[in-house]
Amino acid sequence: MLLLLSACYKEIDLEDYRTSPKVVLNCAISTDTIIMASVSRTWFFTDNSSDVVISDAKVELFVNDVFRESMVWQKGNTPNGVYVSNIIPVEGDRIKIVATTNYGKVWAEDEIPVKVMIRNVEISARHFGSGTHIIVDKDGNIIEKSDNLEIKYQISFDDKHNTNDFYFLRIENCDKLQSLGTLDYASDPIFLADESAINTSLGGQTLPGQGGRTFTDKSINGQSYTLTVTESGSSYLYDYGAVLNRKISLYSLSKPYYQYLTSILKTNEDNAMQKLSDFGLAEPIRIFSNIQGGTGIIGASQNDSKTIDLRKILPDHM
Amino acid sequence: MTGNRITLLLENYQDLSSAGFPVNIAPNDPNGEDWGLGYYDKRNNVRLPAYHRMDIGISIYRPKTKGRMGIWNISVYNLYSRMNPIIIEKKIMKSMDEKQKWDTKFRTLGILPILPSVSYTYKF
Repeated sequence: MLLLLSACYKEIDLEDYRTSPKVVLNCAISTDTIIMASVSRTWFFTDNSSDVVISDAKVELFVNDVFRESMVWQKGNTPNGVYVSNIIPVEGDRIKIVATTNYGKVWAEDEIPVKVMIRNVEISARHFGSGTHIIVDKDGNIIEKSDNLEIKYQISFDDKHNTNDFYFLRIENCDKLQSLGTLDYASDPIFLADESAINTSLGGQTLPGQGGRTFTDKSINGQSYTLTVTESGSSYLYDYGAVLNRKISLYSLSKPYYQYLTSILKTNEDNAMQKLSDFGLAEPIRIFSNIQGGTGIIGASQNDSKTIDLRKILPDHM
Repeated sequence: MTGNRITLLLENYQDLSSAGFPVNIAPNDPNGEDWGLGYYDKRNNVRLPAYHRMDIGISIYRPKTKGRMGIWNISVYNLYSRMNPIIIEKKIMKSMDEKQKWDTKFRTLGILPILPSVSYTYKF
């Protein structure tokens, strides 16, 4: 029986499969800032990932099919520099970037989507025991028991009529020294719409997304809708600080950007489909790319945010 | 003999956040690690190492009275205990030295080594 259960890992050399690097063009476009683009290359998995940035590319920027300028390389505060322009785009602009490098020429374009505003955010809270521990004194009196807190966010917005709209919702703690509980998007069916049947078939599952989650207006097109997301954690997480601000951001995404972010979320999740892929029983999830001749993404978005203080409903603090 | 074809993310590339885009315009924070996103050109891009094994067995027939038969079977699956790879995994570890660099390698997983078995069949 022990023999049957044994398994063996062995290093394998896949150098024969090494191909020439592909050009990677990354660009997140927003009406809040100038247009920037990152040009780099792919690297073979076993290589060191450093030194993949391409700083001598010719990067041309077109707005609504009109050439506007050649973007300029700028070494930034991050280890990676970016190509910058002087243009801040506006809603409805079609942005096209063409990058010419020693590894080849790549291009892509995307359109700035219509901004959708958050109409209202409401929060409520409830305490619940997790049952993980109860401490009693020698007389049998309970002196401490586990206590969890669940905060329910209800975020209202008005979807645009007659268009296919794509969104990303993000909830974050404004003070990074404070803790953000575990976010769960499973209580709203709009977030479950994109989940594959195999992931939702077991039921009772959570839908994580500490960094945020994508959704579409497929089932709510043109309607006013209230999203529901819960945050939960031990109540002591919420004991400290006179203010407990949460920033709620609703991003309106272009379709390519939505497809890109959704594919990344799927690869990061610990769900049935990803486990099958890890075991070689399903195809790996391909990260969406709209770059012609290479890979990466040119994705446009606009966002609206509201900040709300949890102290409004959690008055006690230390 | 020939190994199966599988799809493997052979290459990696920077995502938006590791390329330096701020979170307010590049909202997702995917792996947030140095090895970035996985990339492959086409499906079934890698062939697993050759699959081969030797199975042997012997059946010993022992006639019984009244036409009944006892059969001992002794066999060995995967006689030379070759751990045939069934998948290729990507292993990522952080080195323990002060540089704390990522150490990345491909490795195969093989299961089912040599498996002897004995069975007895009684026909009546």
